[in-house]
Amino acid sequence: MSAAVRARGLHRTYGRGRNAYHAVRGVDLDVGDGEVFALLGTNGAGKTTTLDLLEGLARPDDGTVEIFGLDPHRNRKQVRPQLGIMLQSGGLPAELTVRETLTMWRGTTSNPTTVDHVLEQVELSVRADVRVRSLSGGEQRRVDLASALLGQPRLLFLDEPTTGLDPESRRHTWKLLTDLNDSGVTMVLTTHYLEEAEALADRIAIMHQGTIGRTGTLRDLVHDRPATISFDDPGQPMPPIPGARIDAGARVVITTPDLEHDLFELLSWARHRQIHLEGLDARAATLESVFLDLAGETDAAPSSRNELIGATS
Amino acid sequence: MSTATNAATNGVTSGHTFRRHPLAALARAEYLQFRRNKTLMFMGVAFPIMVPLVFYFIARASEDGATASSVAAALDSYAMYALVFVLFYPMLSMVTTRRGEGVLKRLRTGEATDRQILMAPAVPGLGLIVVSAIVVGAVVYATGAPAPVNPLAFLIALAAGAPLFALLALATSAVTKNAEAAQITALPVMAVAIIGLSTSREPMPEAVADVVDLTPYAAISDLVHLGAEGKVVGVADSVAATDFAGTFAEMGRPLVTLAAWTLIAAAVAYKGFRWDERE
Repeated sequence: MSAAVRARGLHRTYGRGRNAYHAVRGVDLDVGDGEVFALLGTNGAGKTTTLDLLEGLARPDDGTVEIFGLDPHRNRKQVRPQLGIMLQSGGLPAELTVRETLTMWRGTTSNPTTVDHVLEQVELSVRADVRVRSLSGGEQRRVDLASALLGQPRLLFLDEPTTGLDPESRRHTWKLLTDLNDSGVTMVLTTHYLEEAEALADRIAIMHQGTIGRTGTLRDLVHDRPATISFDDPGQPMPPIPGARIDAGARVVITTPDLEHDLFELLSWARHRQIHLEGLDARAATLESVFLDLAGETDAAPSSRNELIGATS
Repeated sequence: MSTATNAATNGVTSGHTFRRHPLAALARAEYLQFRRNKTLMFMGVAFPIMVPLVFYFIARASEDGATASSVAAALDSYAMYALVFVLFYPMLSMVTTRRGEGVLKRLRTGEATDRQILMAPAVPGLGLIVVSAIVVGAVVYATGAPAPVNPLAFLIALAAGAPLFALLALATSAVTKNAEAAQITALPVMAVAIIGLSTSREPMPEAVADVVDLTPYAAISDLVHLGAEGKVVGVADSVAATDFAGTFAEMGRPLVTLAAWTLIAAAVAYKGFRWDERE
């Protein structure tokens, strides 16, 4: 697989002196042609700054970026026509209609598809003549995505593409992005939704405090992580399974590197004793646990499984 | 997945090439937004056309009728309203609004160049100036005003004034938070322009007038007066007007003044301009 994106030793600092903020501290990454690459991270982890550097919107203080072998900042003219970029927020003129906005964008691109085509892709054809300011946040986000698609890019950079979308629109956007990927479009996306990274990404990188903590496929990331078995305390002496404890909710929780073995032991014991294990749950490690470990937040149980990090700044 | 996208993303595009015109596309969008802003439309149409014509018809109805000097004053007010209220203020308001909406930052992710993005908001105002200049010029000179000494001087005044006031709009937007704040931050440029009008400068003591002559709009005002009556502002009525060729020699000082201000405005705009509200 040839490289669509290649970054080595990226550093970026904002401000100077005391107020200096070292947002990106030595990021290396490679994205193959045709791949979907997700950048996960807490707020302030440096995801957006990293995207700015990859897109050529900002220059790294140190390090190099290549997009299809070219410097995205210096060779902007050659690189930009191949890119579709969706920023984290906004960028649509409030007083234009959706169609007028897309017509404007279309006029700036060198190899555009039609406005009607992208409207269909994001399912906004019926809203074409509505002013942007009258759209919902989710609809505006889809116009934003449509703008990024107008130039028929080979490489899409999507900064939180589905934030603010209702679940149905989110599913639809995933389907659209998957279809685009099937047709050969490479993608680099950031997201707050682990579910989104799981659904879309071939490879995932987890950023924390300006560096990439871990990179790999979902399976790579979770395979050496302990799995969890839990069930309601049956109130009987249990077989000696290491890593078992009883939590505050009177549930037995077993953390195990060998789910299959421990689960077999447990179920054999239960059958032998003719015990029914109420509320039995067994699951492999999730991306969430990997993420929380890296972010150093393992103590605090997240309130919601899908949206760990909360609203953006 | 439609075949159109499939084909293009595989690099197998159809034979014809799309001719892109980023500036035209962006300018068209700016024009649509200008048209939908009632305040800007009112300022852009009423001020430059109505006010100079009212001045002109009042002068015309006086005992002396429309003299070269009163026509020059009316056209002077036209040029001021055109550059300040049709170009400068709307551009300041639009660029600032576009920055607030994140549009400038978003456009920079595309293929349009920085220059195209920044020139687009000037285009609607420039178009309105062309239309209003023709209307005002036609009405004034078709209703018996003395023929201009050098009509080219009008063109030069507007052509040199437009880039200067567009750059002043960009420079001012650097210190303008939002469209409402523009009503305040626009005042210095507006005040300096009004002071540069011939009607402001004529009553001034000579020492003061000599300094005010070097302000941006005063230089444009001088060019307008050279065109309409063959002399710059401040020359006594008894001094004979110069002829067509002579006006070109007189243009030196105002043009150098304008060039200097254009460089200063460009430097301030270049150094201070912000693409993103959060910068």
